[in-house]
Amino acid sequence: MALLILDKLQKTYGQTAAVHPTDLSVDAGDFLAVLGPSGCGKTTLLRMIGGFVAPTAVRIHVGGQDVTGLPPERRPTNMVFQGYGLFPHMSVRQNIAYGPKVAGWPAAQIASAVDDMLALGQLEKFADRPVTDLSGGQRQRVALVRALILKPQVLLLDEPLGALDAALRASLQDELRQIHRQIGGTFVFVTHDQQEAMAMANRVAVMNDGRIAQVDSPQTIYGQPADPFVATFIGEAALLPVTVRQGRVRLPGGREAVVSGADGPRAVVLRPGDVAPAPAESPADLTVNVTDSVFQGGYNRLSLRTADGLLLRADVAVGVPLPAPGESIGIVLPARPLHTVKLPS
Amino acid sequence: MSGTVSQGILNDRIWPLILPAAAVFLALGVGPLLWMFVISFWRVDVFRIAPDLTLRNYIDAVSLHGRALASTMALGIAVAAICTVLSIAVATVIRFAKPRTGQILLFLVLVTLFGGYLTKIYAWKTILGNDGVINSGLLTAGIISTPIEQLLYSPAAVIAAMVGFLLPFAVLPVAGALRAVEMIEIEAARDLGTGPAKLFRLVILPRIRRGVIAAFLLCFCLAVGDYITPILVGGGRTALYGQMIAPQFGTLFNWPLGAAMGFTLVVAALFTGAVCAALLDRVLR
Repeated sequence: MALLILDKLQKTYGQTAAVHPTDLSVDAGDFLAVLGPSGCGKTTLLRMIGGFVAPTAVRIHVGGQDVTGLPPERRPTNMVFQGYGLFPHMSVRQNIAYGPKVAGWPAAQIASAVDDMLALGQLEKFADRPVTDLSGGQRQRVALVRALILKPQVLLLDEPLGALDAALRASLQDELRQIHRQIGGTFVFVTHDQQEAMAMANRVAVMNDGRIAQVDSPQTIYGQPADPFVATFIGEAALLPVTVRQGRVRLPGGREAVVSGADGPRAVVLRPGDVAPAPAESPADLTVNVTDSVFQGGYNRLSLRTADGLLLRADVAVGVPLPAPGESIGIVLPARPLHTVKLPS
Repeated sequence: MSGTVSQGILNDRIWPLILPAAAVFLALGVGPLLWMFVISFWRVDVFRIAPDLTLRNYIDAVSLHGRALASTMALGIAVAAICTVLSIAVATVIRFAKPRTGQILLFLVLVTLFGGYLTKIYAWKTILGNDGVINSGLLTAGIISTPIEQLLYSPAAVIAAMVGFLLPFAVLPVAGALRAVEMIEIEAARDLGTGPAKLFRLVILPRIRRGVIAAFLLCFCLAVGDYITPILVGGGRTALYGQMIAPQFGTLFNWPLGAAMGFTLVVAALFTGAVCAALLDRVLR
């Protein structure tokens, strides 16, 4: 049973559509990432769920209740804002206690819930400091537990780690995942960082230009992207144009490969891990020119160009002999069925 | 180690910049005040002031005009309170209206400062007077048969005129404080369950506390020091302290008493203002 259901959610500003009619359902316990480039409508989508933006047309259901007409303060959702929105005139403890206080919880219950949240966010040491004294990461944790203390049915996070530096972001990603496991809530978070979406979420909704292009597990999004946008937005991908006939394509080297997708002109999605130099004496699927070779630590990344000018990348394990830039080599594609996407007409 | 680099570089060189202003302020402000302070212990000897060291003037300042002092403080509190409440309302609209509308409103508030002080008081006379706008309107409508004289020359008229004059001074600090309150704080408060009324009490008022106190004190100080408005629209019926100080330096020729009354007013205003500010600080927290 889906906990959060968006039914034809839509937002237009004048003539411009920020979010095209969109359906989305989120199950209880899901950690859903809404991923897309800036300006794709993902924040508008999240703010409509939180009640901060009035949708042009729709129904929003949370836990079976239609919340479409409710103001934010009466929705069973809570939000972690980009920029946090902490109350600067209050201490850490007062910020966290704010929601329960407004809701009129008894004092003893507030105190014990706040202590639990301070522990959850590892904020015990800072409890009585003004929030203006905290670092970015600490503020982020205050914002998180301040929203969690009300036990929202859905926790909304708007670019929660956007303002933090890379190292801090990685450690907070771990923390967020851990907190999600620990309390078992339903999280919906918006991000433009595909690595972050992959690392944290069990489901990813990729948005482009006001539309949800694909909702799936990170593995499926990466392995079987629904369209060229998803393929190239999530990780590196080269799109090799092919013509599919009866579920097969003939590769330039002559091999017939099994592919997914309907017949017609399509493109094979090639990840850097899919492309490998052909072993000596074995037939190549494709002949390419090596344009560059860069050591990446655990592997070498080759930049390759086909005769048609398509740029490919190949990750080659350290120790395997490397072709020199300028050399012409044969490459092989995986034996498993190749994933194709429809090319825009 | 404290302070930023730029402070370190400039620290010793910027001080001379305040010298001209300090000279003016000391020579024309502090100097005469000190002189008045000295005079407040002197006495009047047959139309001449004579050096002395007496507390007589201060005793008179309180015992002869104590009632006026108390009603001046009360009037100051009333004017400041009305201005503060109205300014919070106006500043809230300025802050949360569309940016363009807010700018226009703020401009309109500021533009009223260009109108002269006396002009505004005379404007109130044409509104509240016997043949003023209100009375002639009511007469024409047949609601009254003779003008209501109490409209003008009453404490209410003094308060109305002072509020009209002082409101822009109150709006500015409150609007400034409100500008620092970010939309995201308000959204967070809404998200955490705060309805509009509680939002004002729990988030907005505590955040603009300092601006509100500044607005109150500014209006209070200007109101208790005003002696023109009560003369022009209060008539003889409103006895305010400032009104009684002015003639001591003119027709009554009693500079020592006038000086003592002046310092009494300053001390009373400082004390009352401090109490009000402390109260506001507690209430708004």
